[in-house]
Amino acid sequence: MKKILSMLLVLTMLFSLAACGGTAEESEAPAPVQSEETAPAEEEAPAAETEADTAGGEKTVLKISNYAILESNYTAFWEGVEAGFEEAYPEYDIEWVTSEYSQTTTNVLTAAGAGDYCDAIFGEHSWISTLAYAFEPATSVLNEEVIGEFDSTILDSCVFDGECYAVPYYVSPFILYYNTQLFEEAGITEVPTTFEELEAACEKLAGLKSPITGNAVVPFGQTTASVAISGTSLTAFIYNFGGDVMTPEGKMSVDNDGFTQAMTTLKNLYDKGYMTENQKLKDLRQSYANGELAMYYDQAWGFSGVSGINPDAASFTASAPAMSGGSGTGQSVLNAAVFMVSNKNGNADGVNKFISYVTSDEELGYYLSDIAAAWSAKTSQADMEVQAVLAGATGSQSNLKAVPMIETLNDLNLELCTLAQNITLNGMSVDDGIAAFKNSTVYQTIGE
Amino acid sequence: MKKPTISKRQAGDVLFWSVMILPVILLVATFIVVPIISSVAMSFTEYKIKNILTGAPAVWNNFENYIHLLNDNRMLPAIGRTFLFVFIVVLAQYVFGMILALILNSNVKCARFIRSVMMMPWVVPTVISALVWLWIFQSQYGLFKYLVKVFSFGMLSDFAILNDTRFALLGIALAALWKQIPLSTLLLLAGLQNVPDDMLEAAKIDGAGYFTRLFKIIIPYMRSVISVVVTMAIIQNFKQFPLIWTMTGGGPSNATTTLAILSYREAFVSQNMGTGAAVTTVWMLLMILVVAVFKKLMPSQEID
Repeated sequence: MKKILSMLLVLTMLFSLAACGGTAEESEAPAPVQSEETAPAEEEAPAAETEADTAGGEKTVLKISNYAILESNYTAFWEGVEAGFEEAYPEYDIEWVTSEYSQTTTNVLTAAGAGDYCDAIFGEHSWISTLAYAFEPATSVLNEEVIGEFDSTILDSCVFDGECYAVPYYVSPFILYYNTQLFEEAGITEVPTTFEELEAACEKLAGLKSPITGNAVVPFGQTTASVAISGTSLTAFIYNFGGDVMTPEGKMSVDNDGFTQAMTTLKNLYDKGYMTENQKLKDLRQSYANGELAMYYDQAWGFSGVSGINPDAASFTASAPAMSGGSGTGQSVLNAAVFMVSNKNGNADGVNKFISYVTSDEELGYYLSDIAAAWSAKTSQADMEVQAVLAGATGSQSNLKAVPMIETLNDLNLELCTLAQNITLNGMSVDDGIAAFKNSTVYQTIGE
Repeated sequence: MKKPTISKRQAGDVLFWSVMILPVILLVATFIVVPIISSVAMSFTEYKIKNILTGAPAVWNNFENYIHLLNDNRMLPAIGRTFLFVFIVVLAQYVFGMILALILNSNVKCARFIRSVMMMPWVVPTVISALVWLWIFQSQYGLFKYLVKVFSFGMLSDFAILNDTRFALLGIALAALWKQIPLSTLLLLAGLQNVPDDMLEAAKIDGAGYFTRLFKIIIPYMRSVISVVVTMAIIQNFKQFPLIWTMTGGGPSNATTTLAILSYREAFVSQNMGTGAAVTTVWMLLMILVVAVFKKLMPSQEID
């Protein structure tokens, strides 16, 4: 009898295992209520009539990946967006898909691989090539009146594989943030506009102590740690000198004066002790917030991170456009926070409404004036009020150059970090560093 | 010759254990065997994220992934670093774990309290440990830099361990040891407490000193526990990823790019699942080889 009972138990367990299975179509229902009309809609026209039947009062869930909601500076804003949107459009429920910033792309791709697609994602411009296949071309999901509001140059920078895969939320180029108190203490009256002026300023700033912690001040910060965004920042640094990393077609192109001058300047600043190496942007923000870094390059919105650490930072911070070196004009990379969108769950109409809502004058206006330092990417919002700290960097949002979207962009960015580390920490000459970079697998894979 | 007959009871027993073992076989096959076979098969194909998301089939690519790895100037150094990391951490983990276990087993005061406190690093999630150690190793004002400066009498005033390509791996090894030693100690302590006191007493009466008893009785008696502890440590450190990725991302200048990091970069940064799977296959074979060699060198039978 015991044996029979045990066997029955085992068979029940086996049956349970089998019952847990099922196809993606069965188990990955995108929303609580999805009618037959909600078939995946690559073929469907933008904003086609694919929404769930809400006649019964049940709501359609919009799954939106948003790492920012986990970051305390932004949580309240995004919760407010959720409440406001659901009030304006009662037929929708927003479900935030959250994960830590650095894990977002992997998690979204993994879920998409299992058939669990997000309707939209709030992310970095550089994520476009990574996530393109988990979403759909914005032009096929968003209505003309929605997508037509965005600056076409910025939309062009979101093109991957011939299609525009994202719409910008705001533009956030790399600009120079500097500590006005330390500048005053060092007797610097003019903000550096060239790298020669930067070096002169660094000479004066070296040796100062932080008024907050009493630690020694590092004059300048440029991120080079092994994370993809550091590679984007290094690309911006190269653009400052009029250099190139890739051709517009996405092939490697580093045999230019600007590229070499940028690397030489970086090495020079490090060798003279004017910058610390191998720092992530968040490390630089921490140092800057503590008054231990006199100036540094960061994405415009990065100041939110600084003020999150030190709410008093606005009192000693000002901004300036990126400096110019060699024959460059201080151009920066066209860097933006973007929304990638999808109609794979048949929620195009909801996605259109969400993008319109979140980029509306009220919502974006509040975000840019109170939450993040950045500029709007909508042509109608060119004069939208931004945070006072950006006043010195006005114009930076138009002196930009797009990075070609290639599949291996993140890997290339990491290899640029290795190049920067080789010529600084490893003591390689600039020529040897560039030669090693050209010999790297990533460089060879992309090709010239 | 008469065929051996199976009684009804024996047949029932066979059916019974077959059914009982079936769920385990299914679970192991589903969650271990199939993914391994799938990963090895993937390593011989061109298979990218695009294939997963668009449903495009993988394409056999004539060992291209392995050729790519052979030509990749990161692969061999990554293997070397992985072995170095495993060797340093496993050896130090065993030595310090054993020392701590011996101390805790010697009726030291507050042993229970120390044992509880000692387990704290093991309880902390790996990523949190990595962030804590990042602060300790912070290149400008980190505690470690300060201690090095003090103990070198000011001669090493600018030592940032994670920024130095020669020592960055050692920095990660220190963090790994902090996290892993507690569990090793606990397991070794459990083994120590099973060493029969009468045998140690007899050896003592026969005039055996402490180290003679340690090397001739205690350690041989603990052989199976030591084997488990070291095997676990080898596997854990061979696949160490979150600590390295969080602390250095494989840098500076690839100085901490181990096979785990390389595999992740190939699969999820380069989005090439095929080459990522090829790294993983090489990595798995090396790990099996190392564990097999260790098992060969250290048979687990206990002394009589």
